[in-house]
Amino acid sequence: MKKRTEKVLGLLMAATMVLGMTGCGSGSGEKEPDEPQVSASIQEEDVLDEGASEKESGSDITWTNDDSVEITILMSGDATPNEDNLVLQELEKQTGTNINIIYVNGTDLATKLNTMIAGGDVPDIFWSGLTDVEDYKKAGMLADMEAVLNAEAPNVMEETKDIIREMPANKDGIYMIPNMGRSYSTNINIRTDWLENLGLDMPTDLESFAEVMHAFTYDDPDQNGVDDTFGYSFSLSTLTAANSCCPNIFGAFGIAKRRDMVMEDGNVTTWVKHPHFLEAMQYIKRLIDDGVCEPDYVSIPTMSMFEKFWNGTSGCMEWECVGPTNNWMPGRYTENPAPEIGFTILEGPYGDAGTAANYVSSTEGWVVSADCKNMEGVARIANYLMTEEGSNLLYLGVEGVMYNWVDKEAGTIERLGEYADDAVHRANGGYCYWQLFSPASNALLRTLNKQTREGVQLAYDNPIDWAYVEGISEVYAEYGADMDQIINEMIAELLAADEADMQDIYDSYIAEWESVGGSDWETEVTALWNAQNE
Amino acid sequence: MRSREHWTPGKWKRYLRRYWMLYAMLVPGLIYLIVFKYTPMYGVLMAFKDYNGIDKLGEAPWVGLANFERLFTTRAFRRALSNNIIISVAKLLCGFPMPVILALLIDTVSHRGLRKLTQTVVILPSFISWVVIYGLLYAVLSPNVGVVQALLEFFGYQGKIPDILATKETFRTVIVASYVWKEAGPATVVYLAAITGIDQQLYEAAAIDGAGFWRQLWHITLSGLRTTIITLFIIRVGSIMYAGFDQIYAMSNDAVISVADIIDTYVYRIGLTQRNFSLATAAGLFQSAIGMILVMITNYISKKIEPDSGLF
Repeated sequence: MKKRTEKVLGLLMAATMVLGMTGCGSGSGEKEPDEPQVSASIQEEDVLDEGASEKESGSDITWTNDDSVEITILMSGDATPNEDNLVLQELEKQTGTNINIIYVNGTDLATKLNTMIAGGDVPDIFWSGLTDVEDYKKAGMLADMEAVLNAEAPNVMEETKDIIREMPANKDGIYMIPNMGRSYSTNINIRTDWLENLGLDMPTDLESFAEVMHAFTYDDPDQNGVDDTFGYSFSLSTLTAANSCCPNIFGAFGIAKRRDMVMEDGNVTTWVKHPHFLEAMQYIKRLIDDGVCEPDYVSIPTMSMFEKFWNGTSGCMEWECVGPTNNWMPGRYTENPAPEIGFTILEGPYGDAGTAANYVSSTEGWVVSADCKNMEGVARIANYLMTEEGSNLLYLGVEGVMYNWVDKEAGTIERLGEYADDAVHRANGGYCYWQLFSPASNALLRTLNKQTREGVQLAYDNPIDWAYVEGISEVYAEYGADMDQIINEMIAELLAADEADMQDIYDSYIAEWESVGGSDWETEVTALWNAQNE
Repeated sequence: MRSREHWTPGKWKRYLRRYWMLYAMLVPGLIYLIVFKYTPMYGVLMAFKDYNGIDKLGEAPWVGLANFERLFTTRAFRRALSNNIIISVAKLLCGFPMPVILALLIDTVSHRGLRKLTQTVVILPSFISWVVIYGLLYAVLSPNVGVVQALLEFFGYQGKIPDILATKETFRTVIVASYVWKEAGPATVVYLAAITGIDQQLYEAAAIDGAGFWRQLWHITLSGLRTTIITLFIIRVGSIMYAGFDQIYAMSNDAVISVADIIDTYVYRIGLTQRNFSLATAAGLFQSAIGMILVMITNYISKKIEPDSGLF
C-alpha cells in the first residue's frame, strides 16, 4: 500500500512539473503553431489559407480582414488602465474589432518592442521612428497600408493629407501614419499665489528668476512659518531627457534642449556643443548651489518630483502646462484651495527666450505589421480615432457613462459618478490611449481650459529653432546609445563639479563624444541637413 | 562502485524498473535544461553574424569575429568590463566569507528561539527585490529625507551627511555592502545545514582531548565545511562575470553610471534598447566564456588542494 502511494505521488509530482513547465513555455496562447496563416502581404494572395479572408480594391490589391483575430497594439503612457476597460470595450464596439493593447511605460517601449520583434511576435500596430522603419521595411516586416486606408479610412487620408505622402517613410506606399495632434512645448509653471504672498513680480529674465527661486526657498512663500519649501523642481533624469525640465533655461541661452542645432559655420551638431551651453549649465549649477532646487535631484524619481509640486513643497517646475494647469487641476494638488499657477518666458543674456520649436513630426508614426491578420480592422480603428468622436472616447471616456458635455463649444465637461476620480477614470481607460491615431483637433486640445490654451500658445509663440533632420543617420543608429550616454554623464558631472573645473570636464567629455562617433555623425547629419534644404 | 561490465541489458531493465520514479522526477528538470538552457544556445550564433533582430537569424551574414573586435574598441564596453571586474571581485571578497562567518556565529547560539529568529532575519533580505531595497536605502541614507540625517539632526547635528547613493567615490561601496546584506542569507542556511551534519561525537572527543572553542572551530567545524565551501566557491567564481544586473539597474543613475555600468547593463542598453543584438550577444558570450574558464581553473586548483572536492 505504501509503495503504491509512493508511485502515485511520484507520478503526480512528475506530471505536475511537466505541466507547469509546459504552461510556462506556452506564451500567451494566442498563436498556435497549426493556426491557419493569413496573408501578410497585400500582393501575396496565393498564401491565404483556410479561415482567412481578403478584400480587393483593384485588380491585384488585397488586404487581410479576419475580424475574429485580436489586433495587438503596443503603446506607451504614464497611466495604469485595467486590461479590459470601458474605453477599450467601446472602441471594439465602434470598430467591430477585437483589440489587445499592450500598455507600457515610455522608457520600456523600445525594449518591449525589440524583444517582441526578436521573438517573432510583432505587434499589429506600434509607434516607430524613421531609422527603424527603414530596417523594418527592408525586412518586409511592415504592411503598405495605402490601399486599405484609401478604401476603408477616408478620415485618415483627409486628416493627414498635408503630411502623409511627404513623410520620408512613405515614398513607396503608406507605411507610417502620423499623429496630427501637435505635441506641447514646455512652460515655466510658477506659483503666482506664492509670488503674491511675497510681493514679487513674475520673473522675466534669468536674474529675476534666480531671485524668485531664492525667495521661494528662504522667505516662507506659503506663509506657514515652517522652512518647508524650495523653488525649482527638476531631476537629473528629466534634465537629460528631451523637453521636460530646464528647456526654457537653455532657451534663454539660445539652446534648443536635446535637439540638433545649426551652428554659425553652417554645421549641424548636438545641442551641448552650442557656444553658450556651458554658461547655461553654470546658471543651473548656481541655482543648485544656492539651495533653491530639488535637493535630491540626482536620485529622485519623476513621480516624487511631481508630488513635491502637487503638495506645495516646490513653487516652480518646467513642464507642459497641460499638466499643471489643466490635467492636474485640481485633483492632483493636496492644498485647499488649489494653487494658482502662471507662466513666463525668460530672456537670457543674449536676448534669446523660449523653448525648442515644436514641429509636426514627419519621421515618426504608427506602423502596421505585415503579419497583421486584420488590416481592415486596423484601418477602421485609425479611421474612427481620427474623428472628434473617436478622440473624445480615448481622452474623455465613454460619453454618458464616464462624462457628459457641459458646453461642447467651450470644451467643458462634467465627469460622472465615480469617474470624477482621476484614478477610476484612468483605470477604465480614460486619458490612457489618447495618442493613438490622434487627430489635429484632438479632445485634449479642445477641452483645455482658457489659461492652459494661453500657456500652450505662449510656448508655441517663443520657439528656439533647431535642425529637424528628416534623413536617417547611419552613424547614430550604430553609435547613438554611446554618444547619448556620454552627454548624460557629462551633464551629471558638470552639475556636481566645482565651477572652476567645469570647462575641463566639458572639454574632456566633448572630445570623448567626438571620438566615439560624434565627429562622423556631425559630418553625416550636416550633409543630410544641407541636402534637405537644397 | 559497480563496474561497467556488470551492467547487462537485463540488469539495466531491472534497475530502471526499480528506480523509475526517481528517473521520472528527473525528466522535467532535464526538459527544462534542454528547452531553456541548451536550445537558446543557438542564439550564440548572433555573435558571429550581422543580425538586425528582424530577419531570420539563419539568413543574417556571417562576420567572423568582427563583433568582438568592435566590442573591444568600444569605450563603453571597456569601461563596463573594468567596472564588472572591480565590482565582482569586491562582491566575492566581501560577500563570500560572510555566510561562513554568519553560519559559525549562528551555530554558537544555543537558545532555540533566538537561533531561529536570527536565521530568519539573515535570510529575509534575500526575498526583497532590488527596487524595494533601493527605496529602503534612499529612505535611510538620503541627506534630505533620510532617517540617518533626521537622527543626526535630532541630536543637534547641523550639517548634511554626504549623498553616498549619488557620489561616484562611495557608490561601489553601497553596491557591495547592500549585496552582502541581501545575499548572505541563502548561503548561510546551506552552511548551517552542513554544520548540522557534522558528527557531534567529534566535538565531544576533541573536548575530552582538551581542544578549546577555537581549536574545535578550526579543526572540526571549518574542516567539516571545507567541501561545501569549495563547492559554493566554484559556483560563485563561475558567476563572477555577472556583477548583478538587477541591482545596478535599479540603483544607478547618470551621476554614478561611470563607476557602475557593468557588462549586463551595457548588453541591455545596446541589445534591447538599441536593437544591436549581435554586439550584445558577443558581449554576453565573452562574459560566459570567461566564467567557464574561471570555473575550470578553480575546479582544477580545488582538486589539487582537496582531491575529493571539485564539481567535475
